Amino acid sequence: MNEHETERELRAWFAAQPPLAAPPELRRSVAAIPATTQLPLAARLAAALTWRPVFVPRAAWALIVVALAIALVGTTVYVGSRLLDARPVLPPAVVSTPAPTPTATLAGMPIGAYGACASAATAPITLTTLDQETGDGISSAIDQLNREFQAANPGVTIAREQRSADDLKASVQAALADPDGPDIVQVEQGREAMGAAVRAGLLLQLTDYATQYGWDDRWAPGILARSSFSDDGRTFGSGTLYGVSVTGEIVGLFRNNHFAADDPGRGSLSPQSLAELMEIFSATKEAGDVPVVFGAADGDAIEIYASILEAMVELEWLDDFVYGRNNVSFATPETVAAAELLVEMSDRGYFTEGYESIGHDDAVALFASSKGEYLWADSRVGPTLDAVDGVTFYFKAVPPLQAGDLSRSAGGVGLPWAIRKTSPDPDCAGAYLDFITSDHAMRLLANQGVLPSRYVGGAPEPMQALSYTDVAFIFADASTSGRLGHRLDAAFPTARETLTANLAALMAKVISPEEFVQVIDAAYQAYLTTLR
Amino acid sequence: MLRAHPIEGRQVDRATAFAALAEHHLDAGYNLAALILGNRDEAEDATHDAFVAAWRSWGSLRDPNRFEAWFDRILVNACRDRLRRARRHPVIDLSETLIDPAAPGDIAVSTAERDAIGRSLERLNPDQRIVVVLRFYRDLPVEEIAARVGVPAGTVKSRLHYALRELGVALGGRHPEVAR
Repeated sequence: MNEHETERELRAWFAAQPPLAAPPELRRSVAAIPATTQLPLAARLAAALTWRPVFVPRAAWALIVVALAIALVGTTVYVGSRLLDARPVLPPAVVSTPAPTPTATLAGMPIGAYGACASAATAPITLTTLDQETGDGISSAIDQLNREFQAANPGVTIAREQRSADDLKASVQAALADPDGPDIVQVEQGREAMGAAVRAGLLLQLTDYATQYGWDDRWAPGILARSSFSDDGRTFGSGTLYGVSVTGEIVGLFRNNHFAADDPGRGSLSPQSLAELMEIFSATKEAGDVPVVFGAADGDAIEIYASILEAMVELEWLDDFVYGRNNVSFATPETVAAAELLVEMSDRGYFTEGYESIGHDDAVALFASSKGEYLWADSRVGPTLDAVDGVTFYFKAVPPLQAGDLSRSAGGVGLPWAIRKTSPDPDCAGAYLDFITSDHAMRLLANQGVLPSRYVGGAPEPMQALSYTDVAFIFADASTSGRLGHRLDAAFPTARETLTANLAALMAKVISPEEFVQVIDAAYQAYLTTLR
Repeated sequence: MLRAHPIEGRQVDRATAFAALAEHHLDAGYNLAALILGNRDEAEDATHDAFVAAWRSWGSLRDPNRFEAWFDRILVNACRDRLRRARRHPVIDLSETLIDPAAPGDIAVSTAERDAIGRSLERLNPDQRIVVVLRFYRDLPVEEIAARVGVPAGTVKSRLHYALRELGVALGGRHPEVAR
């Protein structure tokens, strides 16, 4: 049944519902609410100020109201001045930047960048960018955005340099410290890269650009927090914004619809909880198929473990763990329970046989060739799957621990783009960041099959790229409603290596679930001591 | 005749206005809650809670003509809270609990179809169910739903899309695009 047929069925069903009359008891109790429910103090005070008591002379009442107003204004000014005193001092160039005037348009869309780069008309500006976006879709999208930005800002040239992720990681601090270095650099979230750069005073604070361009409305606070630090670089996840992300990613379950076509009954199952998901895996196993195509050789167990764990924990704990706040411990009942479930899945034979020696790319290829029903992976494999002929895939969020709860999704946003503090053209760089995260840019990325950091529409053509729309909608839902979790390997510098090695030992039963969380916690606590 | 104290008089004005609007919107609110929650008892409680909340925040309603949208938002929140507090999928059967067997009506769909749709709605998560009811029962445009639910229009669209996919699977027995 396609969406239009489903809509038609729904409309008919709702139209067929006979109207219900509210029960008499409800009618009586609602009618009695004003008499039985006291208004809150604020509402009663509002009423008192609006209506003058008859026993108070009009002049006296006016004096009372004026006195209250003066007291209120005085308090507001005092509090406001204290808040202003507490604001970080911003570079003069940023503070003095006038708001851009949208004088140019691109495909009917005003480009606010023009005003910020207007000085290029008399003195040409070259903005140098350094990024690691070497993938086909994202790289060509960035190139196109650069051409458009140059066209909208005469006199501006974008000089783009690309490096591999490892090369960028190794050289980013030196690039930011170079007085002639790139103006705009992708800096990895977390203390190791962005935190270190903030501590060294190498990154420009983006607070005023965020205000100027309305970035606070573009992303939910939980997304901006991932690129925020205190001004001393020691507190992660809050404070000043230092970067904006162009792309997003989310971990979930890709499903090979070859199995649904073979067995429509099994295809109709839609798990509402982790327990129901395990029942589906069990049914697949009993039918003689591999429930989850999995290869552990490249560390993909982290994503499965993270998804299970994030369905079990409070997101506040997860934020604290990843941001290194409040001295949380990794040794909790939930981390143990998630480890136990992972081992149980292995024991029950839900994973590809011999998964220990299968790499990531091989696992994706096995899944694409219908050697298993599900692939538990992050959204970046979507374009690869959508390019497969003859088989369709869809993508589901990992269900919550209990049916009826809202699912959380492990994931995040791509490496944020930041501005070198000593860039000679910070305003033009700010305008560039605004442009590459604009609605137009997000749609262009979507059309290239890249998941943007916020979904505003668009999709790759042709539309048989089915999993893309699932990914985009689930990411949009999670990221705008505060239910996008984190990647566990962002929690501390050695997290990926430590988790990979110990998840392998856990699944091989070399260590117990309790021992697994203890060893991760020991590494995490050792890291926390370095922050003090 | 004794003149009412002005503050009390204001209360009386508020109470009169509230009572009139509540009476006018009571049935519509109760029906909306019943379809979201799938249970008449739960709907009765949620509707009552929502009207209490509406009375307590009466001062925030600037324009009485906007009462319906304003109250819908309160009611939807009350329903969502109930669904989440339950921390489990509500035990409901829309086909049996909502349709009054004694009520006359031109039922357009067969009982079997009705049961299937009712059961498929049960499988949606609370947020999906709310947008489906507002879209296909109330026939509200996405922007109006967004205002009532308190999320961006894009989020409403994504919830609707995903809900329709879920329902398509449940009603058709297979993922919608598999049939292409």
